[in-house]
Amino acid sequence: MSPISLLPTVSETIFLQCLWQISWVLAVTSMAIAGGLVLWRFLEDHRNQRLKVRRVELERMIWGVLSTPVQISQTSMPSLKQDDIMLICDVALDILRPLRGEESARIVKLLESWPIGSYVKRTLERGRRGQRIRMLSLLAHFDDEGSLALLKQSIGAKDFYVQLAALRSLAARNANECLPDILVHLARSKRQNPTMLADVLRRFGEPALPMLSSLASKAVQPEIRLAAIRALDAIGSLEAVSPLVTLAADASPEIRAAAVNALGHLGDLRAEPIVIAALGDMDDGVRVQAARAAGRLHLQSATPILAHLLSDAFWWVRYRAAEALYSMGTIGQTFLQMRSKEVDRAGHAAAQLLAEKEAA
Amino acid sequence: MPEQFSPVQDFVMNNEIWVLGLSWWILSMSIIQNLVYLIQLPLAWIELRTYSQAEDSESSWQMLVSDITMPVSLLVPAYNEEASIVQNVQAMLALEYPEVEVVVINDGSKDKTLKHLIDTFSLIPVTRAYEEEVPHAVIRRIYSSPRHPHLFVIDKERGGKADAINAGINICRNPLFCVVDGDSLLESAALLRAVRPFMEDPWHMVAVGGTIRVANGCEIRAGQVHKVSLARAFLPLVQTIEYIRAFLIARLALSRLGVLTIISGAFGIFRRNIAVEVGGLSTDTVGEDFELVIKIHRYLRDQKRAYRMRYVPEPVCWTEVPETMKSLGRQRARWERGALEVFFKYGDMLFNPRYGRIGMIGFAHALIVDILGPLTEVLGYILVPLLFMIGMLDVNFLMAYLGLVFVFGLFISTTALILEEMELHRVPHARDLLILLAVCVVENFGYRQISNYWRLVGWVQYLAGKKGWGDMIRKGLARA
Repeated sequence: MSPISLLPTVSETIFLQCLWQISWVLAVTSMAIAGGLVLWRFLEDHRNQRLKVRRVELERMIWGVLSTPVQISQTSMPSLKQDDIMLICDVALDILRPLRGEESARIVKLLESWPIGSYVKRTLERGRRGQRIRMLSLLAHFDDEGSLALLKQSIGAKDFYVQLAALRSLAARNANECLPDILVHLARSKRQNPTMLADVLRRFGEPALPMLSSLASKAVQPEIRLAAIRALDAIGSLEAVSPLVTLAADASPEIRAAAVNALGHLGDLRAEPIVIAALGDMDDGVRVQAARAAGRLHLQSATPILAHLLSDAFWWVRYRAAEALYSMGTIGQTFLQMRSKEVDRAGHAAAQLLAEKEAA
Repeated sequence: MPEQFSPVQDFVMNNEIWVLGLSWWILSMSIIQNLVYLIQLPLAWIELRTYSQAEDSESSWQMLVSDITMPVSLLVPAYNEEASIVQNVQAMLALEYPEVEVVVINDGSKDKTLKHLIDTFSLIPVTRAYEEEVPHAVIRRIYSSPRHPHLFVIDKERGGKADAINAGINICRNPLFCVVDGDSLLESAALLRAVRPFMEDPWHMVAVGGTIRVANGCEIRAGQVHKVSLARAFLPLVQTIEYIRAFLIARLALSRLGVLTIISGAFGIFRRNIAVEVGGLSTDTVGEDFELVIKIHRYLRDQKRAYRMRYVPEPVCWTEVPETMKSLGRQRARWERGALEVFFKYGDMLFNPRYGRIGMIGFAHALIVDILGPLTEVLGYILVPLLFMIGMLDVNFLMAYLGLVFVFGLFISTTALILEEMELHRVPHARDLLILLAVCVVENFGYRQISNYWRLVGWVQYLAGKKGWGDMIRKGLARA
């Protein structure tokens, strides 16, 4: 027997050589790209250093303009280079955030005195996501038709967070005429983040109530419906009670829970029968929200059901029921004290709640 | 005159089929492993491009100022951490997040961990209603602070890290909980970024993992990484590359495929009700983070419930990594042991169509990379050069093997660094990039082999039935 028998065949040799060569090609290519990136980074570090200094100068200039009595006009302003336009927009957004009224208007006027329009448009068309979001946020502070048109174009943006930024800016500009358009886009939307969307939608205020009611009942995505309910809740108008009452009977437990929770916040006693019915819901999430709502509304008529819920299979239902009873005042608290002496699930829930409240 | 052969040559010739088979098996496994990495690269890149929050600081800022987040409980298991616990809790209380509850679980510390907490935060005993939904050792007392109403400290008997987290799960009240090691530092905006997937898919997202980065070398002030710098010592440097590679390629790709099988124990956010439903963390393994994730997958697949898990690269938790060979070796052996414990505990999920992608892809990935990977590599290091030296193996075979192990390894590490630089831009300076690039090359000669040896030690410990964590010697983060 000879060791030659372990040698590979011709095809195996070709295969083995390919492995070796491919590995090298990949490694050398990746090293070359990485080397290029290092070089790029080196140049970028220097550029960033320069931009950082320039940014501080521009920031000082804006603050200077804010405090000067001189009228802002194109002739009175220093000219800007191409890099400065990007920086000035960025700086302006950071400065504008806490400002309102005249100071805000003055900065916007300052920005308008420079040719930022084409930069804004180009960024919204071709910029990276973060840049587009910042640019849309900046447009919230403008009041001209051109910027409004740019915001309207972004209502249907494919990226959810870009769309959200556009909606937020439209809300800040009280652009209620866009609500029908927003409704059309959101009703079809498949993208999500109901919590953030709710926060943006509530900023439109009471004029948005019909749109929100429609969205809550008709949107394709349950997450969008949830966002609309939360927005109705956050706006706090009693006009929302009627649509919420309907939504409290929805097939989806998440929608029912959100609607009952909102009804608890709104504090209208028209919600009483709905909340009491929800205390007996099949879904534990709905029962939890119903118990909280009953506590907030101080529904004395719910006391027997809440007492019954102290023995619920779910701890959170028991806890919230005990909390609701406690919030009813003397009647509820006396009941809890009596119940706490019993050695069962309800007694334990009552005792824990009372101990917690006393310690607090 | 008949040719004379050495005993090794004799042995090889007498077992020619076995040796040939073993050699090709080693090569095939290397090819499969590298193919896995090759497939992961574009997937990781797509995932990073699709969900990148790196440039979107504006949305995070809006979340912060509008208070529109989901409430989170930070669970901080602490055992003998008197040196760092106060500063870490202060840093957690100062996190940029509207609704956060910090629950420190003093797991029977023998030092002054509890006393330092009581003194610093003026803690007083409180009663807090809770149900013991997951089992844990006895709780002695619960404390809260009048100055910090969102801070709770649970003093309990020693039960281990998993047991401490279970106690925290019972006590916490928020729908999400995040486990943070007592010696790790969350970046101020980390929670805002990590919670976003839960907000995007509130009914299906059950767990989200963030990135762990190496804090050695960074300047720490008031419990926050004030200035990011690379470590100077070789071991933390090489671990920097390892962490970048592991998180930016493997986890992103697995997340893209919906088969994320591990969320790091140092920084992961979980839905509380799901953790309760699966019975909390198991105390019989050192891979409790891996185990929890697999347990959740199994439970929800058994229940046929739709769910999602994601890894997001932008939220960062800084951690101190071992700086000595001894402690690093122990850590790696323990990680391997943990992976083996969990893999064999849930072995019936492997290639089981009942568990869908998790069984077919997630577990197969664990088998190839974590379970068989170190065995194959160590065997290859010994067998391939040996057979070549005694003239039994063709030079092309040797070159192919070296190409797959060393050259391809260099390609993967470099590509991870490219991905990091192009999308996340976290390496502070061009000079640091260059250093890391050099480390990508150097790590293949010596460190990689030792690392696989440590993992093999983990195998031996697992087979020997070793349990427990052992001690890790930490130098302590340089805090200003």
